[in-house]
Amino acid sequence: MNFEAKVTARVGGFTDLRAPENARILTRLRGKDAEGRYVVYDPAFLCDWGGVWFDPHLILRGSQDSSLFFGDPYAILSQVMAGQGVLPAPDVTTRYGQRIFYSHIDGDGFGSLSDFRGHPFCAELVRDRILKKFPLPITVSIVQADMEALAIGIKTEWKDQMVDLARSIFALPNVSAASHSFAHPYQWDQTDTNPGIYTEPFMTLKPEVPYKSVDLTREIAGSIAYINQELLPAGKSVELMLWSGNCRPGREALRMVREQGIENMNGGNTILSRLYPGLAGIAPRVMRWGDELQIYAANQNEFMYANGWNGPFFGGFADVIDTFERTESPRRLKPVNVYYHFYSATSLSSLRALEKIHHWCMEQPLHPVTAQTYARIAKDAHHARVFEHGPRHWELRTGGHVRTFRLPISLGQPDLNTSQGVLGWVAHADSILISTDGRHSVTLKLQDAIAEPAPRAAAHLRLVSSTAGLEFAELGDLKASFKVDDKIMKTATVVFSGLPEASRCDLTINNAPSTLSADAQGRFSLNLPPGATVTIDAQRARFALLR
Amino acid sequence: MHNAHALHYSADSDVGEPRVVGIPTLVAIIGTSLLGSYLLVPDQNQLVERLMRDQQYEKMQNVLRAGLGGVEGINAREFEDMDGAQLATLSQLLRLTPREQLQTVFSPGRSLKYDRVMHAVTLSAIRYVDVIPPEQAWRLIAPMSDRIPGPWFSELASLLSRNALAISRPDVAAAILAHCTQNTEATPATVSEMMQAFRWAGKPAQAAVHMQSWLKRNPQVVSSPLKPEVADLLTLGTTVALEGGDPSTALNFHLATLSALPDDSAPAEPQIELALSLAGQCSRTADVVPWLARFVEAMPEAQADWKKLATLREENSEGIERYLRWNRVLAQYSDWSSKFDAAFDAHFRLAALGDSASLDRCLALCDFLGRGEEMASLLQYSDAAITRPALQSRLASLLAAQGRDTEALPLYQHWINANPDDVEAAHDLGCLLQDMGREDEALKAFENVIKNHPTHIPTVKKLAEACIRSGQHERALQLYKGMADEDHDYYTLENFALLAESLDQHEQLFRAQVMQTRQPDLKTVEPYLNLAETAAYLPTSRPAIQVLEEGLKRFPESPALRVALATVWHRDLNDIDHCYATLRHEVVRKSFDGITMLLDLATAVPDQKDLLAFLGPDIEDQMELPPRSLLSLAVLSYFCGDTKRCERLFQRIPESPRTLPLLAEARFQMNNVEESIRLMTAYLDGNTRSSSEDWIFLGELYEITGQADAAEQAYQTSLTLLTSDLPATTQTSKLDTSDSTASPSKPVITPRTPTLTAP
Repeated sequence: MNFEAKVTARVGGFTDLRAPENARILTRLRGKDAEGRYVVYDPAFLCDWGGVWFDPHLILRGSQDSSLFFGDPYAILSQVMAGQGVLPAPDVTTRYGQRIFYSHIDGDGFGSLSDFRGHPFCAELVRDRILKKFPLPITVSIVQADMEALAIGIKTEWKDQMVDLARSIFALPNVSAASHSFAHPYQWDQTDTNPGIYTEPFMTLKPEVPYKSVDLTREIAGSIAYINQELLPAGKSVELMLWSGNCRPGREALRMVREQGIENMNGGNTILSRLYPGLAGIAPRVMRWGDELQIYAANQNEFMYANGWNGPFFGGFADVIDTFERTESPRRLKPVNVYYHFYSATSLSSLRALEKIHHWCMEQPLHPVTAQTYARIAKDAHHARVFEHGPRHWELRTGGHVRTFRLPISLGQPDLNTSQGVLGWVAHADSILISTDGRHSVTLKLQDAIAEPAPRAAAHLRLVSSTAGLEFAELGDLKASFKVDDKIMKTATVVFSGLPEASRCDLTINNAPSTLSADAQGRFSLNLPPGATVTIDAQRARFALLR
Repeated sequence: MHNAHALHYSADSDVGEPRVVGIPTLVAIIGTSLLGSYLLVPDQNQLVERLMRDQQYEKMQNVLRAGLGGVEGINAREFEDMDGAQLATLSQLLRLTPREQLQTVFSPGRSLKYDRVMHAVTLSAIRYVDVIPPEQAWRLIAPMSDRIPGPWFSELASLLSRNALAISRPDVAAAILAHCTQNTEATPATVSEMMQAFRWAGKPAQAAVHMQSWLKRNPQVVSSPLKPEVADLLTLGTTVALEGGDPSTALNFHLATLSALPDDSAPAEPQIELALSLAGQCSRTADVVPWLARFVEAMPEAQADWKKLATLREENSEGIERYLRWNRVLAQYSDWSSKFDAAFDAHFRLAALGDSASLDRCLALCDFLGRGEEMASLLQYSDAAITRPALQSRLASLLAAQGRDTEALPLYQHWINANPDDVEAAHDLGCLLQDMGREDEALKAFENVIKNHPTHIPTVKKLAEACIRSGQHERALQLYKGMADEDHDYYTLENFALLAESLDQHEQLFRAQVMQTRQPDLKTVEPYLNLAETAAYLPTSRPAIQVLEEGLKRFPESPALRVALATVWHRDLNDIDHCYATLRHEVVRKSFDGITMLLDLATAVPDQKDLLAFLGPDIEDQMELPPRSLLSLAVLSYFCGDTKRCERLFQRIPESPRTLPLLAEARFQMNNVEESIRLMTAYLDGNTRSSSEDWIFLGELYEITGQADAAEQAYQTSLTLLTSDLPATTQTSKLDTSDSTASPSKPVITPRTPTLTAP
C-alpha cells in the first residue's frame, strides 16, 4: 500500500466489514459507531479465495484528472489472481517484437484559421508540416458539416477551398480516411444515463441548417458516404469511425458502424504523464456495449496535455513523449498513439509540439500501423481464446490480427521446433513478447530458456523484431523466406536471432544474392525496402557443425 | 429646283430668227407656251419617275443631289435600291424647308427608314444655325436616336454640338455630347469634347459623372499600354472631377491611369502624391495603399533585408531618408485603411531602424496577424528590449507562444526578478514551466505569485492544480476553501468536491456541493443527490434541507430529488411528518425508491389510510416490490382493515432463510406473536450466520408470550454471539447485502474518530 497515494483514515464509506481469519490485511480502519462501540473495517485484504479492495480505499481522487492508487494494482491483482495460473496474454502494444505506432486525427478545427501569417487553415499546416513531412501512416478524419460549411464559424465561401484541401490530404499515400461524424455529436446515445457535462447535443450549426437532433444514420452512414463519394481518391475508402464528444456511442451507433464494414475508435481517455501520474489514468483497450465493442484510443489527445486548451501556452502536448516513456517502462502498457485534432496547428507552439512528437517517433524503433489495423488488433485481442493443453503448452485462437502474446520471462521461451505458427520472441522487462504468423490457431510450447548465442545443435532462426509487416513463406531452423509489406513508408529494420555465434548466412534480397554474418549473440539485422522478397539460408552453420 | 427647271426648259426651247409680231400674238404665244410647258414639261417628281423608269440613275442622282444641297457620299447605287415610293418621298422632302424636313424625318408617327439619303437630308437641314437652332434640332433628333446608326448619330451630334458652341450654348453642346457618349461607339475624343463642353458650361461635376459612366461601359479602353488619347482623357477627367468637387471620381480616373501601368513598373512620385491627395480628400486611403506599396517597394532600399537597413542609412542617408519617409506614409495609410499586414510590414522596417512608435504598432499587431516569429526576431535583434526593459516579458511571451520555451524562460525569470510586482508575467512564468513539464518549478513559481498576490485567482487555481499533481492534497483543498464562491468555476468546484470527499472534509464538501447546485446551467439533479448524501456527515442537516428544497423548485418533476430530501428529513432529523409530506407527491407514484421508502415508513406515518389511498389498490402489481416492501404493504393493509389484501400479499412471499426474519417482523407488527415466534425459530434453527439482534428479537417475543426460560436462553445466545470472535468468513453484522433495498431505518454506523491501524 501507500503506492501512489498515502492511505489515510476516513469516515466516508465506512462499513463494519472484517477480513476473514488468515487473510492478509492491506488496510484496516477502526472507529466508534453511533453508540460508542468500537468497529473495524478492512477495506482491502487478500485471502485464500482472492481478495477485496473496496472504494473509496482503492483510489484517491484529487481532481477530475488525478486518480492515485493507494496500493500497487499489479502486485495486488497478481496475488488475487495467483490461483488462476498463467496464460499467454494477447498483447495489443506490440507487433513483431516492436512497439506499435499509430496516429489519428479528429477532424475538429479542420477549417479553423491558424495564428500563422496569412491565417491559413489549420488543416493546411497539418498537411504540409506533418502529413507530408513524416513517412508514417496517419488516419485522418473530417467533420462533414465543416466541409459543407454548415457549421458556425465556417464561411460559405471557404467550402470549395476546404474540400480541395481535404482531397489533397486524402490523396497522400500515408493517409487513411476516417469519419468524425456529420455534426460532431457531444452525446451519442440519447438513453445514456451518464452523458457528461455537454450542454449542446452537437456542434453549433448555422440556423438555416435543418438538423435539430442527433440522427445516427446521418452521423455515421451519411458522413461515411460523403467522404467516400466526395473526398477520397479511387482506391481509398473510409476505414474508421472516430467518436466525437463524450465518446460513448452506445449499442446502436456501434452496430451501425459494424454494419458499414469499418472499425471504430476513441474514448477511454488514457493519460499518464508528469501532470497526470496515476496508473488509474490507463483506460482499458475496449468497452463492451451489449454485444458491440467500442475500441478505445490508446492515448489521450492533446487537449488534456495543453491545459484544456485554456492557454496561455499550448505546447504541452510535447509531454506526450513522457507518456510514451511511462507506458513503455517499467512495463509496456500501451502502443504509441499520437492522437490530436487539426486545431493543434492553431498556434506555433502547439504545431511545434506536434513536430517534436513526430521527430521523436521517427527516432524510435516502432512498428507503424494504421489506426484501423490497431482497432482490429484490439478487437481480435478481446475475442482471442487461449486453451491450455498441458504444462507450458497452449493453443492460441485469434482472427489473425493480434500477433503478439505475452508471458512472464521466467516461464521459459518458445520451442520453435514443436510450436506452430510462432515466428520468434523478444524480451521486454520481465516479459517475453511472442510473435505469431497470423494463423487462426497457433500452437505454443515453451521450453527452458537457452542462452544466446544458441549452441549449434539448438540453432533455430527466430524473428526478434520488425518495424514492418512480414509475410513468411518459410521459417525453418536455418532457412527463412518472407516478403516485406509493400505499403510501408520507410525502410524496414528486421532483426533475427537464434544462430550460433558469428554464423555465415546466404541472403537474397529481391533476387540479389549476398552473404552476412551473425554477431557474437547469433543475431543479425536487415534493412529492407518496401515489398522486398527475402530468403535467408544459414545452412552454412550446419555445415560448420558437421565439420 | 428652279435652276434645274430653267435649265431643262432652256435645253428644250426652239430658237428662230427674230421677227416682229403683234402684242396679241405675243400674248397668245406666251400663253400658249406657258400652257404647253405646264402640260408638257414634267415637274421634279415626274422627272425623277421618268428617270427611274428609264434607269437614268446618273441623271437622277444629279437632280436629287442638287436638291440635297451638294451633300457628298451618296452614289447612284443607293438610288437603284429605292422604290418609287421612296423616291417620291425623297423628292417631296427636298421641296420642304429644313425645319419641315427634320420634322418629317423624325416624326414619331412616320416610319421613314433612316438611310444614307435621309442622313444626308438631315445633315443638310441642320447645317446652318440660323435656319434651325441646334437646340431645336436636337430636340427633334434625340428622341429618335435609337433609329439612327451610331456613327451617323455621332456625326449629327458632333455637328450640332459644334453649332451649339458656335452660338455660345456649351450647355446644349454638353447635353448633346453626353447623350452621344452613351453610344457604345463613342470615342475618347467625343468624351473629351463632352468634358470640355460641360466644363465651359460650368458643370464639371456632371462631366465627371458622364465620363465615369462611359468608362464603366468601356472598361477595355483602360488597358496597358494606355493610348495617349485615353491617358489625356483620364488626366482631363481627374482635373474636371476635382473642379466639380468630386475627389472620389477624380481618384477613380487617376487610379484608372495607374491601373494601366505595366506590371513591372511603379507609379511615379507625382502620381503617388496626387493619388494620396485625392484619397485623403475622399477618405479612400485603402484604394491607394497597393499603389503606394508598389511605389515604395520599387525603391532600391526596399530590396534590402531589414537587418541591413541600419547600414544603408549610414551609407546613403539621403536615399534611405526618402525611403523611410515614404515607408512611414505607407504604414500610416495602411493603418488608416485597416490593411494591417501592409502596415505591419512598413512599421516593421521602421522599427528595425529604431522607430519606437512603429515598434509599438508592430507589437500591437503581431498577435492578430500571426507575425509573432518576425516580431520576436526583431526584438531579439534590436536593442529595443534593452532600452525598454518592459519589452522583455513581451519577448518572453512571444517566444513561449512559438514553443521556444528554453529561450523564453530566462527572459521571464530575469524580468520577474527585477519586477516582482508584475503578477501577470509571474503567472505566465508558472504556466510556461507547466507547459514545459517542469511541474515542481511551476508550483514554486505559482507560490511566489501567491506570496505577494494572494487574491490572484488564476494563480490560485493553477497552484491548487499543481498541488494536487504533486500530492499536496490538503494544501490544494485549503486553496479551494479560501476562494470566494464567485471565484469558483465548474472545474474548481469538481476538484474542490473530490478533494473534500477524499480528505473527509464534509463541511467543505457540502460547501462545494452547494456551489455546484448553484451553477447556472445545471441540467441534472446529481449535485443535489450528492449533497443529500453528504448531509449525513454534517452536525446539522438544516442547511442541506434548505438547498434541497431550492432544488425541488428548480426540478419539481424529479422523484429522485424528492426521495433525497425525504431521506434527509427522516434519516438526519427523524421528522416523519415532513418526510411523508415530501414523498406524498404525484411524481413519486412511479418511483421505485419513493414507493419503497413510503412503505418503510408505513407504520410511522400520521395517516395510514391516506398512505394506502395514495399508493392505490394495486401498487404491488404495478411495481416489482421487494419482500420487505410487500410485507410493509401487507401490514399497512392490515391496519387499514383490508385483511384480504394483507393475506394476499403474505402469500406472495414464500418462506425462505432470507424472508423468514422479515415475515416474523411483519407478523409481530400485526400482533401475531405466535406466528412470529414460529418464523424466527425456523430462521434461527441451525443458522450459523445469525446475529445477536436476531436472538434478542426472539427473546423479546418469548417474553411477550410469557416464556421466560426460552427468552432467557435466547438472550444468552445473543450474549455469546456478542462476546465471541467474529465468524471466520466475511459478513456484515447488520446489513443483509442481498437485499437491494437497504432500509433507512437500519442503523448507520458513523465512526466519529476512525483510525488507521497497521495491518
